[in-house]
Amino acid sequence: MSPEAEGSPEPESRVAAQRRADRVREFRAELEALEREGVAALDPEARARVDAHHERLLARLAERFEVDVTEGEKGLSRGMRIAAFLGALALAASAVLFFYRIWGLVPTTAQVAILAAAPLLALGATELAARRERSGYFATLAGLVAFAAFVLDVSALGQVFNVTPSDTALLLWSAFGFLLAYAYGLRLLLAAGILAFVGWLSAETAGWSGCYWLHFGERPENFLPAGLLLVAFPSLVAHRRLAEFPPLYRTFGLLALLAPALALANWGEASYLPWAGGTIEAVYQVAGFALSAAAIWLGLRRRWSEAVNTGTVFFVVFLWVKFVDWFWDWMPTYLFFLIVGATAVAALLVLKRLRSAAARPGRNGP
Amino acid sequence: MTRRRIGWSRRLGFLAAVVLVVGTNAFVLARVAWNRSGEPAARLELTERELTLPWVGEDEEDTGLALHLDFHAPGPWREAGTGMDSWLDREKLGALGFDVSVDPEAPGAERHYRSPLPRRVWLVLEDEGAAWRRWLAGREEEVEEARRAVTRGEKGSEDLEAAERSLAADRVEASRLFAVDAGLDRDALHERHPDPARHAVVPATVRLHRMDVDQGRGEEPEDEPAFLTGSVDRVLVDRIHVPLRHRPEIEWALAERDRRNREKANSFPHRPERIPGDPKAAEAPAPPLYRADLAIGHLGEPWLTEVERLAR
Repeated sequence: MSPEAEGSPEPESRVAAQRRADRVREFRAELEALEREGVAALDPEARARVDAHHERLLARLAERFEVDVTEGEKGLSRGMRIAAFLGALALAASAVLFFYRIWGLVPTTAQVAILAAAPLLALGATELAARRERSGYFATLAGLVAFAAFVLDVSALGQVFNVTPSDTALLLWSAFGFLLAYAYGLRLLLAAGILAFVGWLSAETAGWSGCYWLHFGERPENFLPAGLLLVAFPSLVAHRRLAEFPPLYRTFGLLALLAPALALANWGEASYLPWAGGTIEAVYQVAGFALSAAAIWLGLRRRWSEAVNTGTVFFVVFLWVKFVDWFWDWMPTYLFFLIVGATAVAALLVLKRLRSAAARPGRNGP
Repeated sequence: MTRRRIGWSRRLGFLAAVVLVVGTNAFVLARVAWNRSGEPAARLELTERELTLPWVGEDEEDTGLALHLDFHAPGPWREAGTGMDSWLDREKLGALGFDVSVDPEAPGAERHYRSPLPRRVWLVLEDEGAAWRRWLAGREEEVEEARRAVTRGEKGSEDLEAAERSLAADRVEASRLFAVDAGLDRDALHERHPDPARHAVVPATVRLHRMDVDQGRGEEPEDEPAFLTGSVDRVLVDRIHVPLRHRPEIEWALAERDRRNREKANSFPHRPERIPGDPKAAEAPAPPLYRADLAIGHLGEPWLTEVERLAR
């Protein structure tokens, strides 16, 4: 058999390449353990072929995607991701604060020139970083600065020329975030684009009811259409090249559905529904529990860990909020927290049982 | 996806982002140019009274300067007879698109009118017009009433002095800009208020309120039926950016305001180092420091055309 197995697909993204590299490392470690325990061993010729194949594969993946081959490299990469994020925040803040420090001292033409040039320069830096360094850390940093510069561009132009605020700005920022995210495979830019999109669609939804868009937050139900769209989107549009994107869509989608439900479960007066506040709160409490449970169930079926995690967090929060409603006023505080802790333990046991059921023979485990 | 296709995809994304940035800036500038083209829809001669200085003086971290549009508007708590009759009644609110079909006294009205959200409208601002004169007359009537109360022995002379000082300050310092009308059709409002030197039609938001016996006004709140009224939530552009060419006048005004405030503080009796002179002079109403001409464009968006210091 050829060292290059025919038909083995080349990973299309860094995340897919990293998963392959992780599987190689884990396979090697497990094979060594089996050999040590005397369970099984490859014949020397086969072992040499496998080792050679893995060496070539890892070298190719490292050269093309800069994957982490060892645990040490993985730890460093985590640190680099945090540093990239914090660095991006700091640089973005610096760019915005620099502009506000000088804008009153320069004429209008200079203000416009600076505002328009900043995102374009940062875009250029993003492209350069993506070409020079395949891991994506510097591209993420430059991309976030470009996004912040574009947000500043639109909002500051509005201030300079006294433009009426419009939710179209949110749509523009969202489009910018999505373009950078899909062009360079940057998850943080996708998150920024999704957040701006949620804001825009929620503002538009508020506008359909006749209210001025800036007040969309006063009716949490305005977020529901965006939530539904985000949850459904990865199922409608395949993401073969960017397999790490769908979990973000589902996470933000579930947040846009469950957070409003939680708010309305405690503040029924803020609903569009023409019912008594208490009735609305009861409806959203039931809906919140049902939706959280549905997210957990679907997450287990489809192996969407983000859905399981988000559903679990909100289910527990809904439960604890009910406990406060039922017990806080009359129960001794120590007993209240004992019950809260006990429900957390119960949740662990239930999830453990669900995990065992999912991992039964004949089923694909997560 | 092959490497070649990934490269094309990245190039396309980069170009699309560049086009988005350039296109957005071009669109905003074109929109501004159109708003300011030709003859403005309105041109108001305002002063510091209507375009007030920022609360905080110059800030190193934010060197931008903006004047705040200050105007009187009807609100839910105004009482009739103060010269601020609320024209935002049930009929007007219905014309602005609010659902006022349920009688405010009907059962279920409280739930129907629970936390209504503001709606965008066009608001008419009137400068030094009939509304200002009515308001000033109402304030003068309040002072007369205080004078009569002193004569009847119901109030002390210090109450009358305070009312007179307040009226004197309002004559000189209070904004003469009043919100007098609102609607959804901007052209119709221009036809009803055709004087561009006195009326400006600007985008704003209005909120509906249901006032019931618990929030009643007057002496016998229990007898007041529930009613609907409105308030101006905000003018959408109420901070007017000061371009560099007008900055010296505003910086001078900020320095003068600071000097004035220091004089007032120094005149307080408890301060050990008082500046010599009549302490009441420091409390005298301060006339406006500058005149500012405000133009309103085709889209209802304002800009400063002229700022001039006023002689002290």
